[in-house]
Amino acid sequence: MGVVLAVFASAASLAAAEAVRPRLSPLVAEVRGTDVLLKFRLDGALNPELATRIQAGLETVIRYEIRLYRHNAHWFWDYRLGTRQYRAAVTYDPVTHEYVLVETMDEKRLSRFTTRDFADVARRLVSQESLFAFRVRSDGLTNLYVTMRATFDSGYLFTIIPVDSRTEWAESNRFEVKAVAP
Amino acid sequence: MKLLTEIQRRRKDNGLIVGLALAVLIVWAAVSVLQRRADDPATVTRGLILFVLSYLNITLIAAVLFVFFRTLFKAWLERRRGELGSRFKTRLLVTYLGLTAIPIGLLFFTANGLLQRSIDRWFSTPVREVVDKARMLEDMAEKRITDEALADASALAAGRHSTGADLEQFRSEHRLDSVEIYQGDRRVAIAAERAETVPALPAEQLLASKIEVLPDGSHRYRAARAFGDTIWVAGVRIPPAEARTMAAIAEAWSEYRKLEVQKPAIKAANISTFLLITLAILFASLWTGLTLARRITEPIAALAESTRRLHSGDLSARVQTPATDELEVLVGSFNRMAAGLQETRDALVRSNEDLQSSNLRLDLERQLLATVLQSVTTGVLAFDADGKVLVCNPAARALLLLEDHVSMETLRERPDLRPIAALLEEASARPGAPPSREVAISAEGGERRLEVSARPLAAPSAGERRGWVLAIEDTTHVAREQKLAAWSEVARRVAHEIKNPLTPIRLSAERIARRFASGAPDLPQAIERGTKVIVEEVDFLKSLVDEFSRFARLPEMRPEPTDLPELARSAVRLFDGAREGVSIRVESRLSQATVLLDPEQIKRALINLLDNALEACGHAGEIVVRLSDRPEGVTIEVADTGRGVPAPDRDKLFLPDFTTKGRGTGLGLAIVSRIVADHNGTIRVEDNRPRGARFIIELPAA
Repeated sequence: MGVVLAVFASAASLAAAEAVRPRLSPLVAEVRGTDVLLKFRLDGALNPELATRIQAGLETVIRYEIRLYRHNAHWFWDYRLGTRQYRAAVTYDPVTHEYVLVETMDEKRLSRFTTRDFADVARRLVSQESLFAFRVRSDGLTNLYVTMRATFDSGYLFTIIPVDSRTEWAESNRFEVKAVAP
Repeated sequence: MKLLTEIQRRRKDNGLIVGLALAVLIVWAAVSVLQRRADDPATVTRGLILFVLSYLNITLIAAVLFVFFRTLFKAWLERRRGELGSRFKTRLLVTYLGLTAIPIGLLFFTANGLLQRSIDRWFSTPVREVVDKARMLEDMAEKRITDEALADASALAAGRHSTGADLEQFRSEHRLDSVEIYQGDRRVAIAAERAETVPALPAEQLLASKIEVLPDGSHRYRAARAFGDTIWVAGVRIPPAEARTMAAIAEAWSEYRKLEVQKPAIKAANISTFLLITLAILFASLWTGLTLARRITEPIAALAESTRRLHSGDLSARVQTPATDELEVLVGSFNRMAAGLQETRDALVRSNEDLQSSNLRLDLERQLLATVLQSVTTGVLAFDADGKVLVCNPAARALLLLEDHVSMETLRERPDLRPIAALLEEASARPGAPPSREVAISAEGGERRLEVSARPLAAPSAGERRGWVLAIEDTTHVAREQKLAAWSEVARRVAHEIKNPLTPIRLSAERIARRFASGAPDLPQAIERGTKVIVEEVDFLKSLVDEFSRFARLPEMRPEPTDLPELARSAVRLFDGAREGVSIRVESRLSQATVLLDPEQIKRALINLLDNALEACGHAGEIVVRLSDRPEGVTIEVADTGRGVPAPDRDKLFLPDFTTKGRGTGLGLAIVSRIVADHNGTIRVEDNRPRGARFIIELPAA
């Protein structure tokens, strides 16, 4: 009986989570030469709880897993060209009243941004206008697209089981990289 | 093998339990350390620690739950399969769980509630209000300093100070830490207590009014006012003590907010820790119950299985399951009992085999005996102690002229077989030498004489008699030959006895003839002596002839009721005064004086016996005629104190030609024996105590 109740409770919890589930929208890939830049926004992630965490001084991290695919119409799955992990971590210094946002790509720091404006740091945490993601071959590729999902913070299942929130995979527009003359 | 498997399983279980206990211990220590670190506000990795702690707890809870439910499931399965001891095991488990779960459950909920309330109390309104107010005060102080710095920067810009002296004077008047002037991003003038500690900043940062934390702990606020391309900056420095206090307030507020955010996680970690402890205790209880139940039920199950095997005949069944305490004693006793049973069974099997072998041998012997009994001419008749006939072979039936059904009553009812019954009674009454008796049977071809010998059937132990075996020999032809031989001897003796007197007769006659021929003067005397000798010898011859005549022509027996004591006394009276030194008397202990017998014949037998006794006594002695009852008849005993009868002579004492006297026919005792036999009685001779001989005549009642 206890097991049955637990399953129902779990299902109800998951259903409730589904209703406010964050998602990446839109995900737009832009090509500049051989560079692939991404524009995206993570909706529904920066809820009051997450904001409270940030303002309380807890390090809050959002990890974006980015995959570059080439569509293959003649096979069961597409060919994956590369994987990158973009990480945006924000901490609050209560002494200086500053938010520090550190961005890394595959563990390499991209930037460190300091501001007293929470809206500014929140915007940069969940959105990017032109994030450099991949550099592809210069001989030109077609039917490319990027998938992306975000993983952030943790909640608690049954109040004791810590769980990560994770978005569905979002898929970008198809694009091609034209060959660059040597 | 089964014992090895059991030991291996127990070792594995023990290993599992020890491992689990160690894991719980390690986790417990880790949880304690991590929780302490998690409670430390200065720890920046607190979230990670809580995260790890929670997962660790959950993993362990899952492991304990797995073992817990696995144990319960196994107990349920054993009970469902109906394994012996499963009910007891389940009951013990439930008891242990009940005894443990209720208090530990109460403790869990109580402690958890207490802790939750404690955690909630950390974030109660007064505390939160104090923290927020402190933070507000710190913010207000900071704002006041910033506003003053901005006012100073505005005044500096309004004053258009440009020289270093003016700037220093302004700094001193307004008690500022530093005064700077920038043209674009370039600092063109500065006045400060220690100018080297005031770095130039980009215009963007200057305008952001940032707080700088200096190495000595002090804070510096630089407020900037820009007019065109020129930026006037007024710097205020908060002393280290004051700055540290403000920083502490800010950090405390931050930590409080962090804890507040992490409250669910802290609660979760505590709940899972309590849950872990609770489940560990439940598991320990379950395991203890299981172990105890197993230690009890497994030997019992093994005992039951071994008992079942014993019942099915497998006496090699032993309990191999290790047991402790009283169960060990019980198992040991069972094994010893089983070993004893096996030894007994083996002994029985061996005995049975021996018995079968013996039976086979006995069967062979029985067949051999049966064959012998069937084929021998000697009659064999066996009785048990109750008189039931055990064996009666064809020869016995033929000799005794018996019908199919034979019993002791048959012997008693048939007059000609009564001596045999009497023989058995005598043998039973006198446990001495086994007797034998000659019996005469009237058959179609004439009288048949049988020699019947009785031998006791003795038990293997204690010499107890179980019955009798009668060996019956047909001695008719032997008797006839003996009779012929006896008569031949009689003839020889008669001839001898007749010849003896003939010699003196002849000599006397010849002497008379010679005296007469010679005209001897003593002829008259010679005739007188000669005729006297001749007369004497002729008288002797006459008496000799009379004696043989009497023996040869004994009258036919005419039994009649006779007063036996009177008869005996009349016989004794014939010898009154016969010899001075010899006394003769009659002792009668008869319950009934009248006995059916031939008085003439018995009196004659008594006279013969008395004559012999008188002869044996010589000139002094005592002769007693005793009359007594016997079970089925009477006993006549003639005892004397004479010289007795030597043992070698006793067998031939009753033969016609036997005599110990110097002169005599040797027919006296033969005549007595013949008379007794005609009465279907027996006669024997025994030693008289202290000296002499006893002739015992036993006569049947009718």
